[in-house]
Amino acid sequence: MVKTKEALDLVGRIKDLLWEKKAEGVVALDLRRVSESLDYFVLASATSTPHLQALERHVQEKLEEEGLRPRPTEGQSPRWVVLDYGEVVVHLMTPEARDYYDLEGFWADADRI
Amino acid sequence: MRPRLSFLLLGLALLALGGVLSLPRASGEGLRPKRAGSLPEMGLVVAARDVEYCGYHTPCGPGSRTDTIFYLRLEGGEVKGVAIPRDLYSPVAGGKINAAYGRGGAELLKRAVEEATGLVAERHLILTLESVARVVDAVGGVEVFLERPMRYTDTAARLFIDFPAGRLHLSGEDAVKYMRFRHEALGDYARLDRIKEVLGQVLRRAQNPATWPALTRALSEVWRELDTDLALEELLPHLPAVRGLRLSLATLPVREGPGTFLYVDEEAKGRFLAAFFGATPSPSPPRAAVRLRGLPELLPWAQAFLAREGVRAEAEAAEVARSAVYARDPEAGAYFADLFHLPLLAPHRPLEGVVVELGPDLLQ
Repeated sequence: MVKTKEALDLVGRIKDLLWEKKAEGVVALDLRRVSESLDYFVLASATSTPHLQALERHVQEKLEEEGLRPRPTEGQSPRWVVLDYGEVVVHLMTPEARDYYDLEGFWADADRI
Repeated sequence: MRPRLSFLLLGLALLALGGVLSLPRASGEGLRPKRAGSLPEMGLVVAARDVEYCGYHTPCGPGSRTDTIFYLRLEGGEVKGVAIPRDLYSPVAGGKINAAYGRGGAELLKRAVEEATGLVAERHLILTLESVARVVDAVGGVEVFLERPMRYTDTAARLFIDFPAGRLHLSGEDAVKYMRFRHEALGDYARLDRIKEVLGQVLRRAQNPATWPALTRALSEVWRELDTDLALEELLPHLPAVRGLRLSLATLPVREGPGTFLYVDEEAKGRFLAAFFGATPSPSPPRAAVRLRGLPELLPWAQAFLAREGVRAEAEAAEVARSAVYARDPEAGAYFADLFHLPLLAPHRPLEGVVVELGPDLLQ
């Protein structure tokens, strides 16, 4: 399977941005082999709601400087924020929400990148 | 853009499954991680409460009448739902089935639905119109295509419907209006068909992970308004499994009777239920006329796709709001719904063969 270089570059960039702001448990999943309609997820945990918002702001602002804007969504949750960059979807969650919804467990067969 | 099959695969609200998608209530509650297995299996009655009046022209919240009633069977990654007309005579309720909830709560409503369908209803989810609107908003609204304007005014109910013909994007509040409207030739049957259409869209949108935070938030806010024996904590861990859920919706066969009552068409019911709930997509194409309707740029692709399956389909360019498969024959419909990974909506209105509608959502 040929990986989309642009998407992979974006995944790497998002991971770097999240690490810059001390996100925890940053994981990227390549879902293309296990899902017919999803490509890449980047998951990260925040230690608090303000931290969650800070991560969201940081990723959004930095990528916007590079001309990338997430697709509009209908709103977020205090525990879970999604930034949808098309092929790459970023899930920022509190540790509790991340454990509870366990997206990594559901897509356990996805390749980690 | 190439219509990647994956987009077609996204085709498929269930507010019933809203429960699957909601976050726990208060931040202080412990979130216990659970491993998501396959979706739970259950027979579920979903109903929506109408508006109560405290006086002349004074609506004052959810009423006891439920004009919208569905029996849903959730099994093996599939939801199959049967709409039950509100005017159906229910012996156990001693009147129309839409009064059962008011007379005996959810338990009587479940018994009435079991009596009508012969199917086991284990659980219930009684919605309010406001909660429906909130959830529709959370998934970004729905799109419809109206062949003629939809207008209706009921000052007493404070219901003002004024939609122009054409393609419309409806907010939650407007979607509720769209689903309440029944002032046309097919009356309540057409209303049920519109509800099926909206449910299909809501589920389809709920399958997009980008909607999950907003959806979980909305559901956690509305859950307390609902009368249900579904525990959120029981359903929550299954959220990602909603992505693979397939949906089929039809209407219980009924016949007209004395007065304004409808009665279950027992002979047709047996055949219908066996075909609808027993339908598994056959390995080979069923003998049914197939018509493709929708975006001109999608039609040649879909025709070629079907030709590879040995199916010859007529194609018609048409305005289509969202993609779905329409068929009265559950087995034929199941085959094409499975092939295109789209919801199967069996309308009450007469329909020949199978119609596959291909809308702009497939290119998004």
